[in-house]
Amino acid sequence: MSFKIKVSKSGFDVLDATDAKNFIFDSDFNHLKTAGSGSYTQAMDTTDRHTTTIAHGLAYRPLAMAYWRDTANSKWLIASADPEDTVGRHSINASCGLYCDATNIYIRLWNYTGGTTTFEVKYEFFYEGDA
Amino acid sequence: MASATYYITAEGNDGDKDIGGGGAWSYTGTDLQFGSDSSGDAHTIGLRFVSVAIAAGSTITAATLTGHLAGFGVPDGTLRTRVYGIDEDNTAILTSDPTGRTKTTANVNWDEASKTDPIVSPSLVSIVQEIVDRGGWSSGNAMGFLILDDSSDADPASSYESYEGDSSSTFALAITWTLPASSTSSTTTSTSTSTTSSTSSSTSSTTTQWPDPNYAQGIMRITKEGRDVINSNYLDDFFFDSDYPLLKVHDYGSFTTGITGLKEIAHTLGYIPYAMVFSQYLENDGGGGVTITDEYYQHDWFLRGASYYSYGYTKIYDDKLDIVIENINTPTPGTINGFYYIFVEEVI
Repeated sequence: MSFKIKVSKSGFDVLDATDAKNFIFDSDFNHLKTAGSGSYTQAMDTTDRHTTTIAHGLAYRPLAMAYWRDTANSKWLIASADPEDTVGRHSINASCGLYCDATNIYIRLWNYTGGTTTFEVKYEFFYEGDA
Repeated sequence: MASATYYITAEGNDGDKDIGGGGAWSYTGTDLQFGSDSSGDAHTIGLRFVSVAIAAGSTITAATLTGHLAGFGVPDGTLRTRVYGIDEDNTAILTSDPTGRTKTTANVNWDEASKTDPIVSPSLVSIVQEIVDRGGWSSGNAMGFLILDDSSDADPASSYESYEGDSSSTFALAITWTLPASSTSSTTTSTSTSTTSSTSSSTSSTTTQWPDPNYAQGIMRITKEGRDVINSNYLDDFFFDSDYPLLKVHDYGSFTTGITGLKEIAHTLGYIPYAMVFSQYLENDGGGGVTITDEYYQHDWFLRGASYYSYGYTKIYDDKLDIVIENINTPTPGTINGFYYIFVEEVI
């Protein structure tokens, strides 16, 4: 016999609910577990590129997420891939790329606004990864 | 019986306004002027507590506000204030002047004849009850209060900590309540049928109507080390909080595909789920060609060369992921590796 821990959403009977969507926590499923998170600001010169390297210590490629913004603009954006090739998708002349290997998370910023500015970045990476 | 204490947890959730002196609303100051200031000008304090987990229909049995002295001002006379609730289902953030918002009918005199630390309000049960009884109130909403000067004596200045002044000594709202009785209805159906062989049947069922407040108010929380699981009201203090769902992994795996290819990953969820995909991709090698990266990127990339382009993206369906890689005249052969996660949660 296996034991389980389940917490249902409000309004659902934890004993009778069968749809996994109706559980806030269900030990039958793995969950993303945060291995690390952080934030930083980066001053950027005109047409500047800057890569921040963050050691994750996991020995495999982890799932990771990053959000960023130009501090002159309140709009937060999700990081995509290589900023040099995705610039323009957000209708602003700057971009942020996120990639990883088995050692590090890399966050690459690219400023093409024509002026100096400061970027703000928030990131999180998980124990789940390279399947 | 349940109880909880809520604190000011972020900027924009407390502030004050020098009403008598014609000052502007301030939500970034380091203290909150209680009653009136040293010039005798009346002040109004606004407070907003988030994630107040009291089920609609609950009966409030105790409610008080507590504040901590900010360090100056010995009252020369009696501070006289009157406390109102902000009459909203889910009090909006206080970054704009809240003093003109609709107040609760219920209000409570709060007078302080001497400097004390902390100060504790009289019972605010009537105010909290009026807010919880609003038709649009639901557990987890934000609850707001306004503390107005009510003809304090001259020069009774006394100020109390704001979130910006000392985030560990903000005003606190302590509430005790009893949950509403479970909404349970019972339906009994009996059917008898007689034939020559005389058969009969009866069914009986009890239907519990959800949400059942008695059940729904059960909360499971696990704090980070050093945090008090009972008293902490700051979400980031918790590893797990049953008020908030977690992403549950439905499936994960790795894939390999050619540089022009479509990798289909089937799933059985029947709706559009959250998913994350990482892959290698192509980048300029600096000499006119392209190479496959060693690193893995979010599978959302685009490469443009003088006479070629290449891109990768993921399409999510209710029964599959299509992991797409397309290339036009891209001169590098090879395979691309990646991995994916599909989550149980549905994109709404």
